[in-house]
Amino acid sequence: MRVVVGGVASRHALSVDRLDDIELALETLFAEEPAEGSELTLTVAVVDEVFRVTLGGLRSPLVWRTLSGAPLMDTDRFGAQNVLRMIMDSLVDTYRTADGSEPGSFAVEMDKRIL
Amino acid sequence: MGRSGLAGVTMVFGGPKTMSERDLLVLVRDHKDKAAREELITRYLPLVRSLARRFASRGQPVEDLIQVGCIGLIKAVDRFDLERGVELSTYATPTVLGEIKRYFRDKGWAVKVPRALQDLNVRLNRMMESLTVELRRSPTISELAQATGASEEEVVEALESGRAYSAVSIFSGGGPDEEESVGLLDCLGAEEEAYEVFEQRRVLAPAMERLDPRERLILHLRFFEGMTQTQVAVRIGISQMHVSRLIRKSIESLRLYMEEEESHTDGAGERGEDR
Repeated sequence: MRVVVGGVASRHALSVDRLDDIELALETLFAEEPAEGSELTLTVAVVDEVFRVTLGGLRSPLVWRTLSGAPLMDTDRFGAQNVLRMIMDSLVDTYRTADGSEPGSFAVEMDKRIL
Repeated sequence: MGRSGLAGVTMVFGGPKTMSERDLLVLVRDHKDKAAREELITRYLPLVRSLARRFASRGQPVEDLIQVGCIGLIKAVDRFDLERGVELSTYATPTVLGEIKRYFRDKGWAVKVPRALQDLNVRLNRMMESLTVELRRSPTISELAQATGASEEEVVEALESGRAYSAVSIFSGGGPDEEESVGLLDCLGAEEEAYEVFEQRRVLAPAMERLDPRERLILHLRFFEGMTQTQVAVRIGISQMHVSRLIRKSIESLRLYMEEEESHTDGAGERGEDR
């Protein structure tokens, strides 16, 4: 994953520390996924001086509720939710969730400006 | 000045600080004297610092290396044979160096990384620091490739391989020297106040407190003060690569601490219900 993202970043003027932020955000999303799940898709694009990474096929309910602003449930791990929000709020400029192509799956799209 | 005898040692009032090195070594050898041992270690600390600094560019905090070197020094003091007729410094130098090299060998690369990539990673680490100063921002992969003469693909691969380098810190030190450690402690006071301000910080604070001070400070600067990794690196006095590794390690620790706490408070919250 990092080599792919880094490879695309190398063709644009994305600084190393900003690249590392995106990679850490991705690692955080991966960490919340069940060990066995559906196929994940990674899409990297550069649009209007913005480095855009989309991770699709996600299924973690906690990630969905945290990042989409949906109400949390009693069984949610509030600590993990806080860590996730802290990381996403700080590491990428904007993020949004979108329904995935398969039922119950979703995607997270993250933008980071290229300096 | 008053003196007293102790089996071949000239005791000088004023304690071990005023005794000769040989007398201290005799005390350690014959009487397992703790004060004499400590005095010898104190006297040789400058040697350890000097040897540790030789490895300053290898990506590990010098303060950690000094601690490792101290283990070598203690071994040297404990194992030194007075009858061999050599100076303690002669014996201690290779012992300290050996301990530091062993640390790099055992603790450094967590997975096998080709030597060429390790070398490029070390060069990138240095180059990143100098380019950051020169450009006043973090360099791009392309700039790093140009500066090191490597291809962009090699730079990406070497940066990736750098993650295989252990971020384990053997103690909760501050920066690379003592003056900086004081600065870090100063910062921590303001950090604690900041946690009280926001709900998110309040929730995270108990877990943050369990991190070592340097990791706590790095997370605070990066996530609550909004500093970039490069700015944090400059502030702490370590490389951006090392900041990156420490952030990952700290977040992993934070996650584990929070899971522990939640499992204690509500019998482990479940996860997996449908959206």
